[in-house]
Amino acid sequence: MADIASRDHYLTLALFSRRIIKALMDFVRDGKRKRLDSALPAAIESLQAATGNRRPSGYGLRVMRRYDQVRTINELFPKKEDRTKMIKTLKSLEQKGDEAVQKERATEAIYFFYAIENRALRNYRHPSRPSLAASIR
Amino acid sequence: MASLRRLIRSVYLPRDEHERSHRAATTDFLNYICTLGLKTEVYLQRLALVPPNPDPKMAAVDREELTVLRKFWFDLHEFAQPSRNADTLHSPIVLISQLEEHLSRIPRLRECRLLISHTTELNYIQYPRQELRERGGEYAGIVPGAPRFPRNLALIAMPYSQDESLFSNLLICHEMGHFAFEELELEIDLSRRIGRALRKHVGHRSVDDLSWCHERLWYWAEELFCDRFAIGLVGPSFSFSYIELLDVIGMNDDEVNEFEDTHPSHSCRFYEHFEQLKRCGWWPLLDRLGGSYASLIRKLRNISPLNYKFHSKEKSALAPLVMKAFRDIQPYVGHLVTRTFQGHEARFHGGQHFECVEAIQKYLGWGVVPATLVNNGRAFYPDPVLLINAAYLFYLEGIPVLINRIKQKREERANYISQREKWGKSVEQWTLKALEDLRLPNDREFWAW
Repeated sequence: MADIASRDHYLTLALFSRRIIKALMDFVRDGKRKRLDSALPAAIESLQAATGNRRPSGYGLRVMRRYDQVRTINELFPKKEDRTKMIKTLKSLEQKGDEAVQKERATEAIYFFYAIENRALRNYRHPSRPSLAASIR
Repeated sequence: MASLRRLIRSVYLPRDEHERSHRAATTDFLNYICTLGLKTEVYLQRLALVPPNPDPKMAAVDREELTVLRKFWFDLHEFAQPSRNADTLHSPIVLISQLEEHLSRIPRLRECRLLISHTTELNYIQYPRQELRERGGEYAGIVPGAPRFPRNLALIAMPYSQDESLFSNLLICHEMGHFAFEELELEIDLSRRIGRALRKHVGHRSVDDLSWCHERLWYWAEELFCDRFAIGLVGPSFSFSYIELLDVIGMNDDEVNEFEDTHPSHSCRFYEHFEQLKRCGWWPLLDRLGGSYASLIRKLRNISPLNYKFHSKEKSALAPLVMKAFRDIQPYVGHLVTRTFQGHEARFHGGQHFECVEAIQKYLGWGVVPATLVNNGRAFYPDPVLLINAAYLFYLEGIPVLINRIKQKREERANYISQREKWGKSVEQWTLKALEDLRLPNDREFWAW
């Protein structure tokens, strides 16, 4: 009988990370903020959900609701300070400031989410049977 | 990129040499995949024009995008052809239409549609639409113009071998429960209660531990919700189907009491079956005609929750605590089901319902399709849920009556199992035919309302 597997949780996490990376890339390469402005709140809330002891709400509830997703981030960045520091970096990107400094911060964030994406893809396996599937048993 | 494009085309382009006929839900879904494919092809063409990043680290970041897109299409690969295969000739269309109609009676689930696909597993599966929708949303954030996942669509996979069955396909109702759970966002309400139960029984722990505990409680509660939801849709026939497919009747005490990471024990689930059946008035019927299956439900219901067991290899120290927390959550599941149906559950009212069940079983006992029931010279038609339950009870307990009425050759009489199988299948086919007839316009009166 099929069981609920974690494969698709990793795919969701990888796609989420890539969307954030694309938005950050837009900013770093072309100075465009449109995608960044919509991506940052989701990124911040999700990281908060994976950091705090409080259950997430809003976007965090959607992306960080699964144990596999929370664990992936905690394994990569076991120190709470690292996650908290990235939350601060992302929050600072929400503000307008010196463009060179902002781009440097955005690049730092790209590598952070790239690490998450990379780990999520590595954890993603492609079994022959349906995975994130709620079966009767 | 060319390799990725080839993969994408292999998923979204139809592979059939012959035309297939699909229900509207399937057509919408296949169109969604096709549009995703076309938009991705355009995107890849644009991406190919961008010069490679001179910084090797950034170039690696860029390159990984193709891997993400590829995995997304790996995922879609599982849905595309199995959905095409479950065409109108290879899925229980009558039952699906009937269940869609039942679903549409529930407030806030009107216009929801069932997309049926095949699976090679002998199991019924609901693909969480929310996850698919979210992945579709993220994908649209990467590939410009990619469409959003179609609205109001429940993705359910059924075993390819069961396309002609009625009774085993009632397990689809459990999967519909998962869809309702997602669609009505019951998780949000449940999460608050889970949070309170965890604070009380598990206390202050790491995010990792709390997330694990939360997920166990959520899975278990959702499974119980889905079972009760299924009974709310089709009555005790869901419990019979569950017992039959999972062979619960042959399980020992250890097996029935064991919780798994994602599913509560059978004993816990049948506790909830019993309560939902009681709530909707089905026990007088089961006491009279339910036989060994009804006795099994009663027996499992009477197992003390103290006998439930959960062993976790991953977090063994937390397992007993999470079980304690679950005791606080379990009573809330019935409340969620009641709130979902808002009085639209399938109910047994005794009296005329008993007469209707007897009439259906009498017809089946004579090999007659019970679509029109004649009583005192007037034509009636049965309620579809009553029809399914009366037929299932006949299938479980009444086949010998039918067999004894049929003139058989000696060798046929000797092969009782084959006769039982043959006539059991006939009962299913007659019931499906009756369900089909009920969907035709008619001027008969409804029995028992």
